[in-house]
Formats: sequence, structure tokens, C-alpha cells
Amino acid sequence: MIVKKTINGISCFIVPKKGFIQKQAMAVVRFGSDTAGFKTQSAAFKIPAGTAHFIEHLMFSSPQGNLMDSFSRLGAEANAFTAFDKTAYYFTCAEHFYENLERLIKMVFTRQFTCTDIDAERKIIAEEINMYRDDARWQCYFSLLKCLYPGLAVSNEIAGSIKDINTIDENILNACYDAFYRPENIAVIAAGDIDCDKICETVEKNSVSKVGELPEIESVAENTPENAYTEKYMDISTPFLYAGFKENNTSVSAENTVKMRIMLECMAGECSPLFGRLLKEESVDTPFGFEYLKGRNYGAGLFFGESKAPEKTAECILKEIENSVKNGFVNAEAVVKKQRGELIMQTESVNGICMPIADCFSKNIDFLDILKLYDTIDIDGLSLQKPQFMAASVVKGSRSKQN
Amino acid sequence: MEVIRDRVNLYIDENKKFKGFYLCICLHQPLNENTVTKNRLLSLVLSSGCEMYKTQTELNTALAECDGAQLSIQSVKKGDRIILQFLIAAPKGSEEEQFRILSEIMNHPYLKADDFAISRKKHLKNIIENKIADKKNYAYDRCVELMFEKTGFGIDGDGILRDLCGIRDLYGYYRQVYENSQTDVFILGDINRERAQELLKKYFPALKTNKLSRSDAKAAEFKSVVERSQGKQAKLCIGIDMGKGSRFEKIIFNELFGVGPSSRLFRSVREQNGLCYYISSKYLSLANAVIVQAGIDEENFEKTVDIVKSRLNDPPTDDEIKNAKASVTDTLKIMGDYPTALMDFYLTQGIFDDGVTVETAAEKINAVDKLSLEPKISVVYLLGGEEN
Repeated sequence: MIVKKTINGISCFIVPKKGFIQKQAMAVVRFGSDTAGFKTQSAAFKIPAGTAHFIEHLMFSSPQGNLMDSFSRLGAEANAFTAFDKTAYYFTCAEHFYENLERLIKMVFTRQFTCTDIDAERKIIAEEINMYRDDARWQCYFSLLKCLYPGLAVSNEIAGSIKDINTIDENILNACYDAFYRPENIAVIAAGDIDCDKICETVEKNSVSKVGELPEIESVAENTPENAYTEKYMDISTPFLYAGFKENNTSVSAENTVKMRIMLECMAGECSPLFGRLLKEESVDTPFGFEYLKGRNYGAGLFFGESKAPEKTAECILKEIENSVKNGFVNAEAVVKKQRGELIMQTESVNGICMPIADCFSKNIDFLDILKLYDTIDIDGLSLQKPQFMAASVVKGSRSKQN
Repeated sequence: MEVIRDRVNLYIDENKKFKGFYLCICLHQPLNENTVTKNRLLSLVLSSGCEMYKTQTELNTALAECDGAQLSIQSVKKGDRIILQFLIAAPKGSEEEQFRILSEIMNHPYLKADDFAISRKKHLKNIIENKIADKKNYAYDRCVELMFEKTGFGIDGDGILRDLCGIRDLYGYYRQVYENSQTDVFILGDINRERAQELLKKYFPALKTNKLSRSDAKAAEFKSVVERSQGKQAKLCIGIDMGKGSRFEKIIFNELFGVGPSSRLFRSVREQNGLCYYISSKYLSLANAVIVQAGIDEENFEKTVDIVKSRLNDPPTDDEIKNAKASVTDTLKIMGDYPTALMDFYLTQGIFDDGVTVETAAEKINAVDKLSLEPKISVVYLLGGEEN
């Protein structure tokens, strides 16, 4: 991977992949749904939930029509997503890479939100929100985040609620764009059989100059979590659960990230004694997924999956977390091999490599350190601090409630 | 991709650019009420362990030790076939170990022990009953089922709940699948042909292929069906019978009709009318059908169907055809970067059995100048929310 910075401050991460046909470029903005407000020299702004995601939708609008279409005309497939700590715009193509890159960079550095576009997009986003309201896993996830982080923006759904998006107007959209869509807050990540110098040149030429300082992010006082359990009823048959803990360690580092991923998988991953036991008892059929959720003002280890006995399973997971604090971990060597192999396989494709680099950029850690750590990590040094708080969220079938 | 038709259909891609090594074995059976549920159950039982790795965690640990090898055993529906697909992939360097682990699973299964099958039966029951949790896919499966009722093309690949309980002698069924299937083997990565053949012979000496014929799908006459769930958003699926014409023309039609943001459906239904967040279409080449999927507010049901109908019947412009051809040929080129996409392509073409390769498919796409198709709606299916 080649790392460069343009004169106006954009970080460029380029992964040359000789012999590959597909090429991808991604522009990552360090602004997502976890920012509740910010201050500039002249004013302070509260950000309604869903604002970063609303901007993501609007970036594709232009007086000439939807810009996704203009990428398609140049043989590229463009898309975007909003996460807690970032918004990313990307395209993949086989041909016309540099022309598409020029379009991507121009698009990200051009603000043209009109009232007509805002109202049209509001209808589409409302349908997206409705889609997520039917998604048991998504609902379960945010219910848990509300337990762990009451009052923090990270516990709001990324697209916001219908009520939230109705409060979003041109003023707040413009203010957020102007505050966060700045060269020094943006990275361009590219992969494929491509030329590094030409990329940096294209990025620099089509972006704006550095303007002023980045705003100060409002730090919100967190409410003390009280609910350790929450449940919902939806139209499903097998219950779904999320269980997790707030970590005590607040530092964001590559080492902490790798260690936490290994520890989470040791606790309840597919090789873990806990999974084996729950499988034998027939409370679960498939391995749990896990996630290390880390941002500016939050850090949590989360497990999720289906279970026929969700309360009991959640309790077992939370107990296992406590046990691990006391007794450490088994199977860590196999887990390190597994995660190392998975990372190699994930980064094999042009499509798979940009995302983990984007994650590292938004957390300000070095992706190459992550790769190196899997070769050098000392598994005897793995230890989990006592969590600040633990909670579980369960979604059960509404049909079972009616019966 | 080199194809060697011997005791099995062997597809080899000697390719140094991949960091991984991929071994995939596919056993084809006709999809019908007798095979579908057993096949799906087999995919779960075989994923759970074997004689050597008696529990799932033992098997998972062996895979982890093999440089994090990823194993996937699935029962894949393709047209009116059900394919038991075994895929093992890992970073290069442990090729023989991948062969060995897969041979333990396939050649020394732990099927005689009933307790395995009993717990997996409960798992499969949950999978089938819980399909409603994913309403988008549930609606898609129902639409295909209604379109091809009572034939293999219409049977849900996850199996039939009422048949699950009565399944006996799963081992006997597995032996029969192992011995009587059309068998395709895919080997991709940094390995030469001789070594690949040697490893295949060493670890799978008894594997062989049989010929399986292909039948044509027949779509139902027009019907419109509304069903209810407790969802907030209605899921619309429209099944289109593609009628006569070459499959390459149909690929181009599908591309311009419903693939991506420049497609007719995305532009008309989402961008011009704001009726949905997602809308797209998918071409099922073996079933000769295009399926449209959208998530909408139920009150826009008729309006959305009307737009889809009108866009279906508009003749494609030269510009649309040109862009769709470019997009499809790019997709074909990019396929060479993705081992699993390549395997899936050749798995499908192997069923057509007309020798089409990635390269000749691109030529055939480029040779199309105009579309002479007569697509016809067969099924309009709506999974609505609760009735007020």
C-alpha cells in the first residue's frame, strides 16, 4: 500500500493490484451518525439524527440529474454508505478509471443542495427507514446501543427516524457539509492495476483548497446506563439477540483493535467452548457474530445471533465475558491464525480491500499495523479489563406473544 | 478456465494473482419433492462435523488451524436442480490440507449417528419457519414459487417443512447423491494442472460424474396475489416470463431494465416518482425469467406496477442497448478477479452445456444489435402489512 498526502491535505491510500481488471476508488469523509453537534468560530450547531446519511443521499443529486447515472455512463457502478464515524462514496469499474475518479472527487467537493432535491430525497429515505423497521437484527442492534449509550448519537439509527428527517433542513445540511467535507477530513482509497501518481494528481486537481480549521465536535455528557435488558416483538420465528459490554479502555489504537477482535472471538466465536456448549444444549444452531464497535466516545464488544432461548443465551455470553476478565482466554492461537487468514482472503479482491482501510482512516489508525500485528501479537498478553457496563437486547416473534 | 471432462467435470484456473486457493465440489441432483429437503438437511449435517472432527467446534478449530480456511457447504438451487456445493478456501500454502479436510468431511461423514440429524432437523425447521423474518427474500421466493408451481423451478431450495420429520436414512441418500450426481469440481489458484489432478485423485478416488439432462421452465398464466405479514413496508415482486429469444439478448434486456441506478426501473420508480428506496431486477437464465423486487408503501402498489408494466413494453433505444452491452461485458471481464463468481458462472453454463465461456459470452453479447423479445408478466406478488 502506498500512502501519500496531497498539498491540500487529502490522505491517499493506494493499493496496486497488478493483473486485476476491476478498479475501485472510495472517498471517505470523517463524518457519520455519531456526531451530535459542533462549534465553529461563529456558531454552535445541534445535528438531528440522520443528517450525515441525508447528505450522503443528496450528494448524488445535481441539476443534470442523478450523478450515479453519470458514473454508469462511464461504465462504473457508484454507491455510498453512512456509518457511525464516516460517510463513504465509491465506484468500481473496469475502464475509464481516472475519468470516474475525477467525477467522484468533484462530486464530493461540490455542495448543491436544493429544496426540491431535499424534499424528493426525504420520500426515498422514509422508505429506507421503513425497510429497516422490518429488520429484526437492525432493531435489536440499536436497542442494545440505547442500553449501553443512552443519550449518545451512536445509539440513534444511522438514517434517523421519520420524525428526525422531517426536521432536517437546508441550513443544517449546508452547515454540516461546510464543516466536515474538507480536504484534511477526507481520504481517497484506491485499489486495482492503477498509477499512484496519476491518482494523487487527479485528486488534487479536482478538490478544493484547504479552508480554515476543522470545527470542534460537541462532547455530549453521557447518561448513566440503567437498562441492562431490553426486548421487542417482531414478525420473526427464531428470536434474535445482541449482548455486549462497554469497555473501560478508551484508547483507539491498532493494537487494541486487534487484541479486542481476538478476545471477542475467543470468548464466543465458532471455535469457543461456549459456542460448543450452547450448540450441544440446542439453544443455538449457528455461531455468533461479533463486532468491536469503536469511536471517539464509545467502545464496545458485541455478540449477536439467533437463539431459541435468547435470555438464557445472553446471560451465558455475559457470564463468559466476566469469566474471561478473571481467567483469560483459550484457543487464542487458532483464533489468531483464523483472523489472519480471513484478513488475507478479504483483502484479496479490489472490492474487499478499500473497506478495512476506510475503517482505519476514520479511527486514525494505520491499516498496515493491523496486518503486522497478526504476525507479532503476544497471545499471553491478552487481557480484558472489567467492563463498565453490560447489557442484552432480544427480539422475539410477535406471533408467539399473541399465542 | 480450462475444462477437463474425465471421470468428473474438472474446471481448473491456474492463476497466480489470487492470494487464496479455492476448491469447490458440486453434486447436481434434479430438484423435486424427494430431493430438496434431504439435500438441505445434508448441507447442515455435513457442516456440523465428520468422523474425524466429531463436533462443530472441533471442525471449526481444524479450519482455523489451516490458516483460517473458510468452509461452506450449501444446497444451492439453480433452475430445476439442487446442488450440494462444498467450498473450501484459504490463503495459498495449505492446498493439500484443504483437500484433506474436505475429503474427511465428504468421504467420512458422521451421518450414521442419528443425534446429529435430529438436532439439524430442528435447525432446518427453524430456518424454514423463520424465512418470514427476511421479507424481501421471502417475497422473492413466493413469487418464484407462484410462477413455476409444481415444478422443480418453483420449489423453495430450503425444503418442505412437512417432509422434514419423515426423513430416514440420510446416509443412504448421501451415498446415492455421491455416486449418481453430475459432479463438477472447481480448482482455482496458484496450482498447476498435474498437481491439481494428482490431489483430486489422491483424496477423492471414488468421485465420478453422471449425465443430468436439462428441462425448460414453463411459467404460469398471469396471476396477481396479495399476502399479509406484520411488516411496515410492502414487498413487491413481479415475475416476468421472458418467452423466446437468446439468453444473451435477455441478459442485455435485464441490465437496461433493472440493474443499477441507470436502469429504467431505478430511474422511473425511484428517481422520478420517489416510490421506493430499492428496486432492481434479476435474470434467472435457467428459469427463463426476470424477477423485479421493490420495497414500497402499499398505497403505491398499483402505481408502481403500472410504471413497471409501461417500462417493460417500451422498446429499448440504441443508446440503452449500447450502455447495457458495455456494462455486461465489463461485469464479465471483472469476473476473472473473483474466484467464486467465476465458479458460479461456469456452474450455470455447465447446466446449459453449450460450451459458453466468459470470453465467448462477451462475444455473444457484443454481437447483439437489437432485442426481439416479448417479455410477459406472469406473476404480480405483494407481501403487504397487516390489514387495517
